[in-house]
Amino acid sequence: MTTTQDTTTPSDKTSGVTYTPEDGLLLEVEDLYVEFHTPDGIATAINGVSFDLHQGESLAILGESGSGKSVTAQAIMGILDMPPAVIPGGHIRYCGQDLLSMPEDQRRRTRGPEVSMIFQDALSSLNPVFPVGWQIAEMFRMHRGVNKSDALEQAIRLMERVQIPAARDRVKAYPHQFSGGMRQRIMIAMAIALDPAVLIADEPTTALDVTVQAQIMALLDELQQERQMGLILITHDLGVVADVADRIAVMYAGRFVEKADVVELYSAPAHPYTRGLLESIPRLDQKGQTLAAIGGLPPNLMRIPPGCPFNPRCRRAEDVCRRDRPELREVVPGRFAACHFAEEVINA
Amino acid sequence: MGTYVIRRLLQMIPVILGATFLIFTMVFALPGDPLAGKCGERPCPPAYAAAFREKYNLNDPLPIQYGKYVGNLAQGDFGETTNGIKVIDQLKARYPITAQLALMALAFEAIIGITVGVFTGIRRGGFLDNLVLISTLVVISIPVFVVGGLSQYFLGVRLGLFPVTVTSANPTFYQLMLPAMVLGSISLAYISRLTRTSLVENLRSDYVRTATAKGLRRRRAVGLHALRNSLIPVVTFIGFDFGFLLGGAIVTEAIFNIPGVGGYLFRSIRARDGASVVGTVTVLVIVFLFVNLLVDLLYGLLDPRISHD
Amino acid sequence: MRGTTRKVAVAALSAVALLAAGCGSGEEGETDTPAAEAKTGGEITVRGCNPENPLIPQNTTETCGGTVIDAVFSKLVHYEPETAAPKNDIAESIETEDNQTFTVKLKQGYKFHDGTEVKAKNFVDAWNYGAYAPNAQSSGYFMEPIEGFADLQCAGTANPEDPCEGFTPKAKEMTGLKVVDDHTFTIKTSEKVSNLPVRLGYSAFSPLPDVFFADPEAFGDKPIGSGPFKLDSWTKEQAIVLSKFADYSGEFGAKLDKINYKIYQDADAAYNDVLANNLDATDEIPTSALIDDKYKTDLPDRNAQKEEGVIQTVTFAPVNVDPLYADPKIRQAISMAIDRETIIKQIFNGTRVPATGWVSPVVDGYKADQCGEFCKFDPAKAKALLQEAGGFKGDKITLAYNADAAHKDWTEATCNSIKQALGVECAAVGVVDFATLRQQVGDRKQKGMFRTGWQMDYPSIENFLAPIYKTGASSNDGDYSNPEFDALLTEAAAQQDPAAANAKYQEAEALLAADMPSIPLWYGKATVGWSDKVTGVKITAFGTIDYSSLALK
Repeated sequence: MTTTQDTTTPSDKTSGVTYTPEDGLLLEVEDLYVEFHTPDGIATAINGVSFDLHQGESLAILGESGSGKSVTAQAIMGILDMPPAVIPGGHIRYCGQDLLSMPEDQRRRTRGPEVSMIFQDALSSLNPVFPVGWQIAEMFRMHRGVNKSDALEQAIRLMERVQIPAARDRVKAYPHQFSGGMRQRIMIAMAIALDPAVLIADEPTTALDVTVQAQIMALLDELQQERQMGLILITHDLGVVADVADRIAVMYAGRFVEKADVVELYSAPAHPYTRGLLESIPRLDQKGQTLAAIGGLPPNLMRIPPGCPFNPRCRRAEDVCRRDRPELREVVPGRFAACHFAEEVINA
Repeated sequence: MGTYVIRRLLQMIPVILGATFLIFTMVFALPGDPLAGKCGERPCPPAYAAAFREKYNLNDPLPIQYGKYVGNLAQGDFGETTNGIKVIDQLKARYPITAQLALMALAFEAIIGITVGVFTGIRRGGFLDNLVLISTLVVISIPVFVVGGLSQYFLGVRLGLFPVTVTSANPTFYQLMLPAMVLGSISLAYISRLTRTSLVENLRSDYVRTATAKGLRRRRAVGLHALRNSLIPVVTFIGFDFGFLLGGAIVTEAIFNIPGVGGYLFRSIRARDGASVVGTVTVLVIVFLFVNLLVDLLYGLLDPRISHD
Repeated sequence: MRGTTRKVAVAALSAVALLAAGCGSGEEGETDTPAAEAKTGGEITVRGCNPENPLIPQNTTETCGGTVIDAVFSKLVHYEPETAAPKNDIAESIETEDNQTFTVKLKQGYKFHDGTEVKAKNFVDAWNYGAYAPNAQSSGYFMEPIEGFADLQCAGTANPEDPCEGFTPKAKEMTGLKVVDDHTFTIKTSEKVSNLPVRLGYSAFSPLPDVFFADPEAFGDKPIGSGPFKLDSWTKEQAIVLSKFADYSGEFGAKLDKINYKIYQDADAAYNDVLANNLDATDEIPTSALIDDKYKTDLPDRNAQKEEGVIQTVTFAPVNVDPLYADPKIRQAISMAIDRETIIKQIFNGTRVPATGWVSPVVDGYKADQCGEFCKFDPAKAKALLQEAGGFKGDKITLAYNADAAHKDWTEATCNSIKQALGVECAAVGVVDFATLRQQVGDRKQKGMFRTGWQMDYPSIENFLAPIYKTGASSNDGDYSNPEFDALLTEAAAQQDPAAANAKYQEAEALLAADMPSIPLWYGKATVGWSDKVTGVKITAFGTIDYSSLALK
């Protein structure tokens, strides 16, 4: 990827492999399966997931806890613990190259310069005993061989870019000395330091309060636009997603149950689960009434029920739902849903 | 931090006074006559006994004895042993030896303990890991005098690899090696286990995940990021252990006849030499408190989340 | 000397004794161990313990200091290592006609380590210093027989614990000592004493150089004697170095040039060093090495064991304190009920010898079997004797011991033996420490039986009888009083001929069997071990190693 910042690059520590997206296609996940082999049994966390990501595009992956969204992200990054995780099938292609079959050392070098990730809890995700500037600068020192003082300069600039006030004074401070929002900004700075093509944000605002949430999302949006990154935003929070995402993929029990453009999905969901999620958002005019929730619990990933995995909780469930698993099909051009009755749901 | 240090120093004073009073009371309230053995088998003649009691204030009631003692202490006079040697001179001669022994034991246990702990922490469940877990358990369970006696006999007397006792007033490095290893063996077991556990825990943490996500080599993620955090409890343990070792390893010094503080305490307890015991323990308490303070400050340096104010 | 376990004393004695003054300088060539060629010169290291007091002979009654004093100070008389017989050292002659006035003539030219000559006044001044109570010298009591001793004692009433407080004795010099000229002085005793020459070998009778009186305190750290060794240095609690005194003119000179006395806190450490040949001699063999005579296999040809002038006894409380034991038959029965041999084998690993009388075998005048059948284990006879006496009226027999030393095992074993043989309950009762036990005994509050021990001051039968069993003697814990016994002692004291004196003492000892004021248990044995570098190791009657015969191979 070409860089837009003025960085000193005396010697490139990367292997010299360059990745070029064809037609702007950065990431191609095809039929990905991920299992966890535990003493109690095999849990299928990801059950055949496929999607694309292009330059400048932001995809939100939405789902409850345990739906498999974080696992998807970690599988793409290659930071799953294998064992107990096993990838029995599927492909993850970055700029046309299969990441899963790449030698580990080459794969490692894509983390940071090509694909980057930020995590939910910045306090535990940052190393508590090193100064934040040092941690950011580490990216330059380790990947690009930049010397200490130059790397630190670049770190300061990054911190300024993510709008940390008085960055130069605070570069030697420690993570616990910042507020939640500031810490998240530091994580972001660290992630974009080497100008990656893909940025995965795993629940970046879940641990923050509402006003800060909005600021962070705005920052992410801004950075994405500026660098034309592909952004994968993983969240369970529909409200957060609305402004930043272009497309949404809803995940349930390790599968996508709906994929659509954000506006279309919000106005007319095509899957009962999505509908249920939207209806469960509390609104001010609902004051005094019982909150609408989706009854029941997500399935045990070791024992996914036959048929549609959502059927035990679905109001519309019929016999066919319990028998046949619905495939993700194009209901309307550009909109995919995995439901036997998707058309009805859209028009409801 | 300056105020923290001053506060801690001031807090030490009541602790020292309390500890010395406790020891003083225990020693002098104990049965056992310091005159025993001064005159061989026979009880001492009255004039001799009277002079002795006068010199060591043994006729005064306990609180007055204590008061006189503290008064002297404040002037730096730790009293005399029952054979007329100044306690402070004895301590001055012996502390360097004990300190040397302590440092050697510390180096031994730290280097090997941490190394072993790191290896077994990274490769959990392997042959080496199990071997280390069992052997450390065995070492912790065996009392130090058994370890000391056995190693003295087999390594010293039988195989001649090490000197059997130390005995000299200026022990060489080589002479102190075996006692240092015996002394460090139990702490070594603790340190290796502590390092292992701490490392295992830290390897599971989020920031190691981040380090991997940053594209850092495994070696760096473990060896720098995880280890730096894992060593915090280990270093503080070593610091405390140093304070403990400076207290003089009574049993080890007796076995190897090392003229250190521990040997002095051993001899003084046996001889019912109250002044020596209290004087030595007072110094020990002071040293230990100082080392504790240093360890606390060190902890604050190692872990930036701890602030001292 | 009254004793706690001999082992403690032996332990204490240890290395300094091993310093082995060079004795028997080649003239007679008497050797004990079949030694290889014994050289003169060289230096060795030996196990030691720290002297408890400053090194002044009149103030040293414990064994750590005692062994240094013995090497550094010579006296009028020296005890032969093997027989304990007294031989003139500084004395040219000690003569008396009536066992009451003694003329002591000194050899000429004996020097102190500082070059000054040993003169008569050095003896007289030293002995007066020791006797003068305000000087608080612990062996001052040895001067008691000398006329005028009482005038140097304190009798103040201001402080019951310290008779010298606010009191100045009448005199500073005993009337019984007179300097005649530089090499002659006279001793007058208040009563007849038949073994004064024997006594004069004890350290309390050492001469002191003039420099002592200028600064006794400094002297205590660096004593100047006239013995075959001089003290080079004493690093407290660490080491003592003695070296040969070239100008020693006596017969008992040193073979070795130097002895390094290393102070050990633990007997095992010293023993291990001897095993590894790092230490040349130790006189304290730890219990772990005594079991099953392990030390003999560890140190083949490098060990020795010999009886010493120590006896352990059990004394009965005075009749008016505890009438239960008044009948001598009861006492004899108890004595017969003790299986001495088994106890020695099991508890002491063979380091004791069953006693057959009240006097140690190492001394001149010892006669075996004075106790007769009463000291032989015979449960049947014991029981019969007890019945003759009408049985034991109390509900149990008690044996008190001081719990601060290792006595529990043997007292319990002794009690068991008594219980099984006599069928009477017996309990070993621990008193918290030696001082407390002695206090209770001294105050005549201790009931039942209690352990007592005696370590000889000088090798004479008289020392085992008079201080303990004479009416009103200072160590007569049982308040034994037998006019016939006292008369025999007085008669013995008047005898000019030592053999005749001994015969009288033996008669007196025989009386003890009939009265049984105390039960003789066993004599002590000293065990020593050495490295393969030394030879000529001899054990003295005091349980120490003789300096004179110790040499390098």
